[in-house]
Amino acid sequence: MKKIRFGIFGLGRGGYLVDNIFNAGADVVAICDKRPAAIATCKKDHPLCKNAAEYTDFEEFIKHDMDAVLLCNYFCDHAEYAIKCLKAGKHVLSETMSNVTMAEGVALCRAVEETGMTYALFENYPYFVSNLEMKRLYQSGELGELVYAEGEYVHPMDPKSANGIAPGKRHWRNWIPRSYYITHALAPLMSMTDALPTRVSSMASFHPCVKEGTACQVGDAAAIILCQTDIDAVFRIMGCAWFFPHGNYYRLGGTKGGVENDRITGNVRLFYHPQYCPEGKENINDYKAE
Amino acid sequence: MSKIRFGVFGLGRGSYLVENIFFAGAEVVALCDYRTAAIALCKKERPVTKDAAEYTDFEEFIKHDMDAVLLCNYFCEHAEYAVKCLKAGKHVLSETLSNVTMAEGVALCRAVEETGKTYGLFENYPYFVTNLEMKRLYEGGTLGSLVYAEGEYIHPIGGKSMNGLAPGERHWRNWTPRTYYSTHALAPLMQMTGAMPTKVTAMAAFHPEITKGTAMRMGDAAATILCQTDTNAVFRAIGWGEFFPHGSSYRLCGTKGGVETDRFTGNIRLYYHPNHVPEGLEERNDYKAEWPDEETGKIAATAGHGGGDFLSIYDFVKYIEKGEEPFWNVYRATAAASVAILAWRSIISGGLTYDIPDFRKEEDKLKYENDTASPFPDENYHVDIPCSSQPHEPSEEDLAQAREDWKNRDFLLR
Repeated sequence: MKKIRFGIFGLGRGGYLVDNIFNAGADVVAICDKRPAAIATCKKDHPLCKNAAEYTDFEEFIKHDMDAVLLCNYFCDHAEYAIKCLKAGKHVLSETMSNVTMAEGVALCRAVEETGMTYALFENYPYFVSNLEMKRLYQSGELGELVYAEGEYVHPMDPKSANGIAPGKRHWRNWIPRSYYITHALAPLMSMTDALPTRVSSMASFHPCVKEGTACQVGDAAAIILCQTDIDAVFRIMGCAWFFPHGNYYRLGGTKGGVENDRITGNVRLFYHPQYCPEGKENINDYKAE
Repeated sequence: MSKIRFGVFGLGRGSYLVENIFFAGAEVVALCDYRTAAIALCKKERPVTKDAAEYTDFEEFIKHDMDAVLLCNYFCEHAEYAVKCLKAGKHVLSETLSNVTMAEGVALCRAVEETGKTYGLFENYPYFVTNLEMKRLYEGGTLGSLVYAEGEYIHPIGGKSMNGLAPGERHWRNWTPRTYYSTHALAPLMQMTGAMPTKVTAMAAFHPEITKGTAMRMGDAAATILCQTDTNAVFRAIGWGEFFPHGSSYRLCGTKGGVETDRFTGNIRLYYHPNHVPEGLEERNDYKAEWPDEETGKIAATAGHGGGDFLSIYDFVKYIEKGEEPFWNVYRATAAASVAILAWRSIISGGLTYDIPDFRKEEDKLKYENDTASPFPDENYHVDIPCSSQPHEPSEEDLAQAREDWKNRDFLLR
């Protein structure tokens, strides 16, 4: 079978993913970024794409003979470019978020339905080894019915680092409401359980001290979100929170057992109701996921 | 100074607390329970009460010459009896929840204001050694501004054990919406931080399978509550969740550091921003908490509910002796109850956010003084609001099992 041929749009992030495309048994045949220097750096740092065609103009890039596009452009611009790619007959693998307005979401779904092309969200956090283990445990049924789950992406940044990744007063990172950068927290739970959210409610914690020394327009340090799901569990999640400690954390609380990842060691911590403890396991288990 | 003289109302729970009253430097002078066997058992098992007067009638009990009443009667009836005690000139230390309707909360606050007597909420979970340590850390300022906090009381019971605690189809435990039993989760956060809740929203997880074999009318396994607070932090509280693992845990997340209780070990886990690590500590610290006061800590270490059964009473006694208002005064108590009640209202209204009233303000009292909606049934099993987020009733098989379990247990005594 022929290799899937990818184009990558947006090399600030996309440059880091080139090697993974080759490792997945596909090819990178075209790269596109408005900055020629970014293209040069990408080819220098990731020689696997040395033969890829180079573009600084998206409208030209999209005409390249390729099967799929990996969209790594600005967070707030994914949907518009995804639709262009789909309508140009390319499958799309898009960085999060798929869309930043509800209308974009509708348009994206319609574009997939009309073109028959494949769209997928590039959400990487469900694939952590501990999250894959939690998924395995949940889907084995050992935890019983899911009552409650937690997911969080906590990433406090000092001003220099924050300014480094948000270069410009109008950069999307300086304007993004705390609940928008949510998929790192929510997607693992959806991936582990196949649950779909059905209702949402949330509250924000306003602490403008966290944006001192930056151009950030967001005065909240965190948004705490509750989701009802179609499996009757409640998810508690946070989108890119600014407090301590830094890290990602997930938890599933079921009627027969519960599991979480340890904030200090990264281990999986697995608890069972004494009555439902599977053979070979203890009521309380702490181990490194494989 | 003469000792504070307590009467204890409700010996199913109250008998476990009488010795703590003596340890706190007070005394028990009267006991009241409608079951004479319960009074006899209390005196037999707790000889410190051997000289206490005995009552089976509350109206007679309340005339006894005493300073304060420890209310350990039914969860859904504390407010009514608290008001009677206050009007009879007694200070009140009341088990949670202070009130189960908003109108009761208003009446309770008014009774305290009119009588000038002291009201304290007997909420024991803030006094766990780990929670006292987290309070010390927070007040030390090394965690920075509080962004987010969590509290949870997870206690899967089910089946026979549940029937043992809820002997009777109309027992309050069979009708308590999941948000109502939330002070064990919320109160520690309020006490650690001094924060007051200002808004609430909540969601429930409907899993009626957990009610199998019981008379439970609430089909939810947990309710997750979010509160905005007057310190701009958001609190996440889970009141009496039935999932795994069993336990209580708490967490404070600040702009310079964070702290939590370890669900496995019970240790404190303390984290700092690399730029804000206090001297003598590491970025990550994992240790066993110690009691802040050695003397009271020794007594607390053997007292029930993590030491809270003693320290709650001890604090209350000291506040009365000094003539001061306790931390858990009637306004904090009713604020916590308002979270419980209005969180439930949020769930059954499809997720609305409610403002938490401040019953120090007359306009807030006026807004709720006639709000008597209750999920607890009257003698005819009539309720004003459901106790389950979705319709749920025990099956005939469930009730048969419950009745069988009640027959086999002398629920009059325990």
